[in-house]
Amino acid sequence: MGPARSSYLQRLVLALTILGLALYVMRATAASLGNPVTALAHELLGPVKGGITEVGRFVSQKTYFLLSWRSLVRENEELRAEVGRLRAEVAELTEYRLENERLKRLLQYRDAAPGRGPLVVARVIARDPGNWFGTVTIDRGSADAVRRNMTVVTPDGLVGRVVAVRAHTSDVLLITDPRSSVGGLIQETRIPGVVEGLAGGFGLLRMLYIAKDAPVEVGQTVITSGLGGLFPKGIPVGTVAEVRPEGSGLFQVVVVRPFAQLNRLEEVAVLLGTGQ
Amino acid sequence: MVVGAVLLLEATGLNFLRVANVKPDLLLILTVCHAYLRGPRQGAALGLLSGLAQDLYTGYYLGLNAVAKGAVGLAVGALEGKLYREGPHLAVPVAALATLFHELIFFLGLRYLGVAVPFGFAFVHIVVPACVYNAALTTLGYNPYHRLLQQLDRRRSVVPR
Repeated sequence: MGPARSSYLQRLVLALTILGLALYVMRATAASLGNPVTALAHELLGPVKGGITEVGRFVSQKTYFLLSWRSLVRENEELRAEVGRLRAEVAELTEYRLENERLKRLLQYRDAAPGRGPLVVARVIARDPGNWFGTVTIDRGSADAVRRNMTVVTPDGLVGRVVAVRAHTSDVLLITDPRSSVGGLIQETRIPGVVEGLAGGFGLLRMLYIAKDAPVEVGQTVITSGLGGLFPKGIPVGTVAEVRPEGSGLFQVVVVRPFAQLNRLEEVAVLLGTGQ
Repeated sequence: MVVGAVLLLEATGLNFLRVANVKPDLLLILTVCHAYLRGPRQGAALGLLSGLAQDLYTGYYLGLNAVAKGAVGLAVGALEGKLYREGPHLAVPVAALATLFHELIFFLGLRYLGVAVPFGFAFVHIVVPACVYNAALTTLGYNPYHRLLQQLDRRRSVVPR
């Protein structure tokens, strides 16, 4: 046997030994991953794998952003438009809800006071442009059976009377207008007087011609007296806010705060059975 | 058209801008600014026109606003060229005094027409707040209006006859 043949055999034996060892190790480790070698490998390679995974995720995200930025921008615009539309819708629905509540109160007013006769609900569409007078324009006119001098109210109280009527709109003189004059009555003591406006935008009234010794107190309620024929009796006007002596010394001036929010009117009711 | 638009605004949207029970009188502010910059003729004309439009809109006491605003336009216009114009510094107190003048004329007109408003009450609750409010808005409106008139002047000067 020559030296070349001997070297060949040695290499063959080494290769077979390695192969056999490998086959043994394969079989020995096939059943369990929890062997110490594997555990050690995982332990040592863990951070590396984690790092690689993070890098992969980062790249994936950036690639996704870069590849899909057009669709993202579009989606963003669509979402913004959707948010704007929904906000407008929420505001509109809120407005409807509030209007519904106000109209419901007007209907309850009609049901609670059937003796007042039929009424028509109207929207306030404009106001006097100045500060001195207090008139509002409503969106009901002669076509809706509105006539001059009809009483106008809200569920809170007296608003005024119709002073001008057109086919589809009317003007209402508010009780705060200095030209307005309403026969009034202190509900608790039945003391009569005349309730006059001071200025259109000013939120208070004054009740005149009340004798200086008449028992009037802050907090008492003023209602319409029905005298004069323009306004039906018993409609709430306001509460007494202040009582002070009048200049002549014969009377006292009673300052009245109206129940109706006359500077924030939106819907009113016209009592069709009044103003004859 | 501008007067009509301002009037419509006063009758609708401005009601929500009430401060101390008063709302601003944009037509008066417009008249004051115009008269201050353009003199008594144009001031009185714009005052009369805007006041008349207001009277026609409200439908009662035709001429009351026209007289009050026309007088203000005339009076403020008399100051044209006598006071500093490049900024609202003097136009603002002029607007306050013009409002006082306007409201006093209005008050006298109401007395004349038989509408009783107690003077002390009117002065404290209408006249003074209106003076302050209108003067404050003149601070905002004077410069833009001045620039607008200057631009219109420039445009007119380059148009060939």
